[in-house]
Amino acid sequence: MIEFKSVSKIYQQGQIALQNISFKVNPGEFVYLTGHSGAGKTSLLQLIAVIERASIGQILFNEQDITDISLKNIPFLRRRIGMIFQDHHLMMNRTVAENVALPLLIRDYTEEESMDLVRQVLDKVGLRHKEEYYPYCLSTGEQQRVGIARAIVAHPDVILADEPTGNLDKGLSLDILDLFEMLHQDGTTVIMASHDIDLLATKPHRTLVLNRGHLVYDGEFSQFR
Amino acid sequence: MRSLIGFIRRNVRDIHYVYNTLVSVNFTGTLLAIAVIALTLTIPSIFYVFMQNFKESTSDLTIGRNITIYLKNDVDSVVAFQIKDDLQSDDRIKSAELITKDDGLKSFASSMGISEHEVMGNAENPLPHAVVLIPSEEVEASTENLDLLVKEIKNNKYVEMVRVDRDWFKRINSITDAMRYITAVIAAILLLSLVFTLINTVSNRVLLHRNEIEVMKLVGATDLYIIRPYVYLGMWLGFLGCFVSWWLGTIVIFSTERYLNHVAEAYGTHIIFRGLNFRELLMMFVMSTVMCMLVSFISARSSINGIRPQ
Ligand SMILES: Nc1ncnc2c1ncn2[C@@H]1O[C@H](COP(=O)(O)OP(=O)(O)OP(=O)(O)O)[C@@H](O)[C@H]1O
Ligand SMILES: [Mg+2]
Repeated sequence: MIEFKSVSKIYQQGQIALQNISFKVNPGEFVYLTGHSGAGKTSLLQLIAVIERASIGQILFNEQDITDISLKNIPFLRRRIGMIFQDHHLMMNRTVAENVALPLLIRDYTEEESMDLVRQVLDKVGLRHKEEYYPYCLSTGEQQRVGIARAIVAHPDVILADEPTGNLDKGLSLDILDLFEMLHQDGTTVIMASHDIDLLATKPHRTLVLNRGHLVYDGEFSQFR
Repeated sequence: MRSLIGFIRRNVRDIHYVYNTLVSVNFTGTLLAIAVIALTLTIPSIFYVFMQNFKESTSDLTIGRNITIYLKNDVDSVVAFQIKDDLQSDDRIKSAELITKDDGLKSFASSMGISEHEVMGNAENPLPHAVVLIPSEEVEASTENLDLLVKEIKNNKYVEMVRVDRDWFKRINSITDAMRYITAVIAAILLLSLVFTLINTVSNRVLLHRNEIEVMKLVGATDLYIIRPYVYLGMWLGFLGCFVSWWLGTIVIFSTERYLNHVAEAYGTHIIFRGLNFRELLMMFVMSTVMCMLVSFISARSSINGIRPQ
């Protein structure tokens, strides 16, 4: 599904975010990405969605080399990815339902077609009753869940979740994790970045651990502890 | 078929959406853009209408637009008739009239108020035969063509002298040429300002929606999808600008009509003004709309390229 071959990311200002990272995620896997703040979790996810480009190395997505993917093809790659961002990235001048519908609308669904799907996922994240709200009227946790709904509405091949439970309380975090678990059962590949070790411990999966840009562990969660 | 209907319905809805979110917001900016478009269209269209009407109203005016050909003295009337007929069959000549030496003498005498006999006595009539030509519109519209025609006639061995009364159309031609030139310059300047205003309007609105565009890019919207609303914005501006220009032009044209007719009467003519016809109007609308869409497309495309999601 996703393969990194000796990938390094050096930002323009000279910060080395990732160094010589190699790993492979198979289709349908559920993988945690953890490490301290600044370890490079976000950077790694951004390379997969080509929000940033790798400086050195090669990245494959479904056996296809995306390291030098052309600007023209990026949208079609991103449509196969459901990305949940550390800061929600919602459109403030559109309602919750309109935000969630966006991935469908860009695929040329009609508004009626998309509304059914939107209501279904809003039910899943427990925000059905707020579909007409604007994001600024929501709490940070609710905004986070709108972002999750948007990421899963179009049934992507892979979900990249960057601290999806960052602003949620324990109960809600577990709900979200259950939701990912369900998607994973349905065959969706999930990569979730989180520094919340206690949360990950409740549902152990394969875990990648980053430390200052180095991949220091790749294996079962239990053994890493 | 279903998808086509869906496509059209979606576009109609989007156009409506764009009207609400892009055209009706930032009202002064929108108004400015519409005003510039309207002005850019009005000046050339007014000139076009003036030219069109001017041509029509002067086409039946024959005073002073003729070419007089004096044949050599030894040319007899049979040859003179032949020459007149030859000239008449030329496309470049609207009409030709032979004035024989006797006719010439008669009219000279009558203008003096005496009989022919009293003028010349028993002496031979010294006047040559003459042919008066009225050139066709195409020829009289261009100095080169007229000169060419005159030169050809001069080369005829029976022709003694050619006199062209061209003051009238020389003057008109130089006035219309100057007007055409000035209009072209003004139109070019306005067109340039239109392009800049439109680019500015569109890129401002792209920046205003920067956050939204970033999100769209992140969820996999193609550039074309992101650009579409701005192309519709251009469409709206082009259409509304043209609409304003249509009315502006109509007002200017008809208020000038009265004044110009006052002047025209002195030349013994009357100008009946005709605005743009349906085809010309349609063309103006299509041109304005398409051009504004195109400029918006290019402008939006380049502004959107600068937006990279973080
Ligand atoms: N756009 C950028 N330009 C320059 N440096 C950056 C940029 N983004 C991240 N970095 C640097 O790269 C390193 C890794 O950052 P990254 O955001 O990937 O860490 P993280 O593991 O996601 O941390 P956190 O848990 O705080 O979100 C940091 O040192 C950071 O300063
Ligand atoms: Mg991060």
